[in-house]
Amino acid sequence: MTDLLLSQIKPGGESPFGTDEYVVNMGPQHPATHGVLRLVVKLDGETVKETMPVLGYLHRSIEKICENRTYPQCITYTDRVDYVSAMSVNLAFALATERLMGLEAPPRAQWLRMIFVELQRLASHLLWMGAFAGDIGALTPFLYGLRERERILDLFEMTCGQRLTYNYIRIGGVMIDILPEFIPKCKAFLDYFEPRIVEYEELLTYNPIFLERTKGVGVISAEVGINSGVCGPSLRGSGVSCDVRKQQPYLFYDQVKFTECLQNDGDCWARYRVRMDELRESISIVRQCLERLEPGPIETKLPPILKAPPASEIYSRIESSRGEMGIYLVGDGTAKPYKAKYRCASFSNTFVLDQLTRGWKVADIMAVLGSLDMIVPEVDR
Amino acid sequence: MTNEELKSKIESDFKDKILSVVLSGQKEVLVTVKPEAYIALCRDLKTKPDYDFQHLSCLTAVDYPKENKITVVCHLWSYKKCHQLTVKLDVDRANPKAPTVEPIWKAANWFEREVFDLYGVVFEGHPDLRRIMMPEDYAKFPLRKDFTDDGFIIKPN
Repeated sequence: MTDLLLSQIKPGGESPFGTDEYVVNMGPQHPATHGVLRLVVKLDGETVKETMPVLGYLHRSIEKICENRTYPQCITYTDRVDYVSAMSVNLAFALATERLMGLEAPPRAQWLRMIFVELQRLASHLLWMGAFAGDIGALTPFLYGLRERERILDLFEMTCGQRLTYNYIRIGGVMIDILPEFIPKCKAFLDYFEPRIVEYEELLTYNPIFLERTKGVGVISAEVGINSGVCGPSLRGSGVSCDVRKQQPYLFYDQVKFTECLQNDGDCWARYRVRMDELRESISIVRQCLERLEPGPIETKLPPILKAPPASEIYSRIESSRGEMGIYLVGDGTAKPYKAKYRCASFSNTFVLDQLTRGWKVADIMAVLGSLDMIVPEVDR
Repeated sequence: MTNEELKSKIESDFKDKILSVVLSGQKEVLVTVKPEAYIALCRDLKTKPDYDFQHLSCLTAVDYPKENKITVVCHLWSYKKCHQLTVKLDVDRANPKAPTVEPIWKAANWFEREVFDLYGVVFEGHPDLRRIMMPEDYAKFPLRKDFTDDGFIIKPN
């Protein structure tokens, strides 16, 4: 019977039985979607025909909440927009508010902000590296990544008492000055951490299985990437210079030396390389900031009630760990923002998932999704 | 190009397409476009090498019930020229309709879906205009200023 059926299938031709599209639901509860993202995947055999991300499972309407809170109160909510890189979102909102109201933080606060944001970038990239490697089957880097991330979180905890949602960068400055022992501890950490990157690279970069899973997979060209709104390290993997720290410098990024990490292939491996290179650059930036740190005030004097000028607006961008983070604020003369919009890197990076996975195997979705470094609370807000 | 130069250049190049162009108090260039010239202006801004706004950084909307309008706001950025521009389009609040910029910047696809979901602005010509955050059977537009719901209570500070 089987022989009879098989004999009807002409080699290379269509099956006489007729094949159907197969729809698979990945998530919303799926270990590799990094939260509650649901992907509806249409498959032909094992080949992906379409990937439809379904968002909204983590939608808390933070933008609506912010419209009903005063500016300083909003900072608390920004932590929850991206909990893996909370410092960056704190900074984005604080900077936007300061620009809207014409305030400026004192130099020491700005250097402190840079130190903490770059340390946060290290922590975020480490977690990403572990999760990405874990997605495609290598579980060891996750343990290595978290081991070093713990020490960064210890530094944060020592300063502001929190390990995940810091609420540290405030409008007009930072919450509290660093302890005297912070600087030696931070330097000791950087000295300890720098050789560790070589360790990660030995584990992953030229590992044949890792190369097989990432090299040439999910290629995005520079043109398509720009047009689709991809940003941050994911776009730099396609060779586009798009670092906000270079293009529209904020804080004192124009006074420190660092190179923008670029790769030209645009595949998962290139995106991985960009982030690994950024680890080294961030270490160098933190070292320079520690050198430049001088005693002084850590916050400006603010009026008792912070009010935005009437009919004012600002669109302020920073480079968060995941890419371009924009905050659009509209002020109406009251103490609450009339409109607060978070433009998050993960939102626009998740959009290209469909284009990147078409024609690849179902297992490659994990590699592509991991390499885009998306985080669901940032997509849904 | 500095923002002042950008402002005067836009003023002279697109006189017939825009209603106003101002330099805001925060030194950003804000363009309010004529509704019928919205698509043409966006296409020019992207393709003309002097402007080169390849990157649609953000697209959102602001609700002004008192003036009976919803403003669609596009934030553009040029990677090569490093300048920023805000394009605004006012639509009628009772019947909010705007043309889509999705053919110009693909990134607008999800941004416009979000604006449709949360503000109810219908983007004509959009290939896939569905709700993106809220459930598909939800009937209200949460980010409008007059939004009310059983679970939504504004506590006084």
